[in-house]
Amino acid sequence: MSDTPKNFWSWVLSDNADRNLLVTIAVLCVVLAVAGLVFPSSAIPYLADIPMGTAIAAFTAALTAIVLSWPLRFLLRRRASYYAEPTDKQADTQDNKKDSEA
Amino acid sequence: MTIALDLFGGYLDGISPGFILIAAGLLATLLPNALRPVLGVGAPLIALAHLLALPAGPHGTFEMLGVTVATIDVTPAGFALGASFLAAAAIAGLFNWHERAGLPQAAGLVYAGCATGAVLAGDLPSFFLFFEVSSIAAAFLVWSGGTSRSLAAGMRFAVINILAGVLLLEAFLLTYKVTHSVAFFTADLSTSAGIYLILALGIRSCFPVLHAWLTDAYPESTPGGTVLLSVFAISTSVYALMRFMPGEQVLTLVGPIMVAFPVLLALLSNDLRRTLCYGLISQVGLAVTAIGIGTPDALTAAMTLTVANIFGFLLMFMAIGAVLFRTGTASAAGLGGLAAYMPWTTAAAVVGGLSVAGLPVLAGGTAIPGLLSAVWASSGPYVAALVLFGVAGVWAHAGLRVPAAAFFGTAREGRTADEAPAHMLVAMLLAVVACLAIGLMPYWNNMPFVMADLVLHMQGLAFALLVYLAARAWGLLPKEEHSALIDVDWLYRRLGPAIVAGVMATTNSLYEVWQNFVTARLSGGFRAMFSAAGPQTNVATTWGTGIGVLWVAVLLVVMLLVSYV
Repeated sequence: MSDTPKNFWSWVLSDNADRNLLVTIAVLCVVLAVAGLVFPSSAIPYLADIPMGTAIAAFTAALTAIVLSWPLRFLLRRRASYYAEPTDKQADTQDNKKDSEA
Repeated sequence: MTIALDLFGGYLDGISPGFILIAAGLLATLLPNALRPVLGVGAPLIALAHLLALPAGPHGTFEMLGVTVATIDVTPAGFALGASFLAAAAIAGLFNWHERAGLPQAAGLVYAGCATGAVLAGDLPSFFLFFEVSSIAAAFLVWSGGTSRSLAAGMRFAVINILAGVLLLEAFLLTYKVTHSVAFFTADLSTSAGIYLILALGIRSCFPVLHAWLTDAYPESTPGGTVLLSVFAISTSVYALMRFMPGEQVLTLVGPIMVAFPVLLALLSNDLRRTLCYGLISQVGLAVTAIGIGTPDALTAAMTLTVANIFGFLLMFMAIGAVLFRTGTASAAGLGGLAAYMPWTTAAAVVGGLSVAGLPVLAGGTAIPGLLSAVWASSGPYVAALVLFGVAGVWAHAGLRVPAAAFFGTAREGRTADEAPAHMLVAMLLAVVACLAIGLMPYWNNMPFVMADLVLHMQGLAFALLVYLAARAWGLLPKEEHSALIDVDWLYRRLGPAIVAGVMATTNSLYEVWQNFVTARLSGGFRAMFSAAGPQTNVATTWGTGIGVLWVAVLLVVMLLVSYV
């Protein structure tokens, strides 16, 4: 890490980057929730009748995607060489080599 | 649609802008290596200048088999897409400046030219010719990857797209047989032509189950090749759906499924280019849903989204293409931490992801809110829920996972890299400018700024982002690992060959048994004949002369007795 160049993106390369981003977005969500109460919108049917309907719907949708990805990981992921043909040449890209070694 | 002066003095009148790129592509094979990139950037710009000077209405006609074919008819939607295609082709040509080989340069130009010609086509024959030749050129782009995997993927790509082309031709011929007209028509799914047409366009637009050719083939091309492939074919298919099937109810059922299912596959895919391909399918699903709704607002939103996605995904594919160019891999399990070494590429990837996710002031932000409103107003809650699932999912995989996997965090395999070359950075910068320009366009057109709608849209984005970041921080996301992903192509890449191998093994065994049976019977028969009449038997043995003379004398006596008695 000490050899890593420092630039604008150093804050997302630190060990606490994910936590810091999470806190920032959580604060943004609170601000937007308050803003939603100050500037109510009826642009989207169904959701306009529910307090913070869009936020709750988006939160639920994203959570569903994350939750569903776990069982699907076991169903759909296979070893990297699953589709490799016997004729695939060793001169293929580094990525293919790494995948077939995995 | 003339919005600029004709710079060519009328010499290009009647020539589709697509033909300019096709001619450039053919010329690229004859030019010295150093001039090919110049053609890759210059030809789209020349074609764009020509397009801006074209008048509206059909022209560029010629006679073919007794039918008048109009190669150009500049409609508003065609103009918007054509101009976007040509701008994207020029940017991609700049991104590909390092490519000196003739095949990818030529195939890329022909592919871009045919796609442009298709969206500007004036009737069915010209549309079909441009659409089909673009598929052939795209196959060559896939093959230009130069690996055995790209060869196999290109073959599967070619087979499936040629099948779609045959279905498309069948639909057009059946329609011509009834109407005796080559003009564009609105398909009727109660007819055979309508069924063939929706199957053909469904394959090309990546309807569920028919989509695997795209995620299989596109990541196998060169870094620049994948950038080109991502822009044209699927956008042309969306345009075709808009021309042939506006308001078709089936699309409102297919579209939401197209929006939702790629979200999960994108989260699981190890190859980041494949992840972006799934994101592309998801976004096209939004457009398909809107086309199915068919109201003027929905169709406008679908076209706007298509244009926005051209530049958003162009930017993301260029960023990952630059990573692939520098590191040799686009595998999420092998990347990470590259923001320290590729800061400008990281910025481009983040902007591209935000644009695709629909952040206001970027290209996607122009399209997605209007499209969501149109979908929610015209569809039931289940369709709306699926669409929202897809939009939230786009944040997760394209907007965040792709940049985060490649650039953020720690380097998973200790890879470092140099920043992208200058020509790639300039290309990405131009794409960022395009995303901003499209995103700010409504405000230039004096669209009223509504704070409530902005807050509503940002709430959706922020709360979806919150879930993803929490999952990432707490280690709840699927682990990045070298892996292959099972998709529908498993049916013809594993199950199909296994069935064929099993059938062939069975038939070979049965044939061998039959052959052995026949051989045994024949051998036995020959042995029996040999033992009955072979050289060792009395029949075939050599007799003595005396015995022979005796038998001849006996036969003569018998004949004399028979003759005279």
